[in-house]
Amino acid sequence: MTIQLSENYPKLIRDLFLYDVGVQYYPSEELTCDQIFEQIAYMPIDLGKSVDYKAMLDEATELPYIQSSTDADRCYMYGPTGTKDPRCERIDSNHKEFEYKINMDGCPTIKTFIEQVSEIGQITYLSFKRMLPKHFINPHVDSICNPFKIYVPLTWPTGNYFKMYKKGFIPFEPLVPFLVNTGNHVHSVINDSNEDRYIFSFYADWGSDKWQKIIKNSYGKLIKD
Amino acid sequence: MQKSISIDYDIEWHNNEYKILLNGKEYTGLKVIEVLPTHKVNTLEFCGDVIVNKLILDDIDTEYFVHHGFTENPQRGNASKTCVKYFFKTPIWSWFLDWKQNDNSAIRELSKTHQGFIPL
Repeated sequence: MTIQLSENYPKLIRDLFLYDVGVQYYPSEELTCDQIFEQIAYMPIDLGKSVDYKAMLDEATELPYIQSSTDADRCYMYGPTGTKDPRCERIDSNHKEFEYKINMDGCPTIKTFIEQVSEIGQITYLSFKRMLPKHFINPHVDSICNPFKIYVPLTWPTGNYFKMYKKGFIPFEPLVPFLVNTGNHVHSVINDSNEDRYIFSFYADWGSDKWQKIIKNSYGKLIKD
Repeated sequence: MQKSISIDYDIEWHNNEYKILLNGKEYTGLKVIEVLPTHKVNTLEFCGDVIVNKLILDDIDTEYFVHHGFTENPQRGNASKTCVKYFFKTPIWSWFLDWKQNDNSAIRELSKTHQGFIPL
């Protein structure tokens, strides 16, 4: 799929969206976690939790975002104790203690989600992002961050795109989590709709047995479907 | 069909005049529009006592790539007393994303963090 964008967006984004026809290939055999981390740029992931995403969205719209004039507004919610916002789980981070970064009284459902998911294996960083209409994130690679993060779109209005260079568009839809390798692949995001778009993302201890099982099983489900 | 691309730039020069060489051929004027091959590496040279502040290829701002010019000493940079030479390929968008992905690889980022700026 290719998309012709308006001149609202920089030429580099327009060319990437228009000319890059690369797609993610999913080998049809079972993969180990290491192979998934090495070879898969993005894939849907089944967290195995019952989550009230509607309530999470209601809470997400009221969060104290730090606004950006062109890209995404951010709300840093959970991360290493005592540090300023590192903007991601840094690749060289060895923090062991984590804490909430905002008062969670107004977002009990999000707090419950973090607690539930941390039972799988420690969450190491979590933030919410709001992207306003016609905003965009220039192509970049998150190489100083843990390469793997889970995105959960709470809304994904038509006209929103998450493009990965040579790997295609992530087929995001509301409330479907995806594991995404943003550390090894150039990617760019736009909101070409007329609505605000909400998403949150988190890093976790991918080395824990339960996370490894979830990732492996999610891939197995993907190729079976 | 091969597509022509524009080459735009912002440079400072001192003393005498400067010259611009695209694939070895001299150009005059402020903007160059040229059909370039996709299967070869192209060279763009700014010769003279020059500082190249900005390089816009095919209407794409190449950002900090401008600091990766080859100069007369073994270093990289955007300033020279003789020539600053850049290598690039077309299409610009995919060459630049490949360059960016490579320049921002985790291995290079770690080197930069611990040793400062490391030219390619």
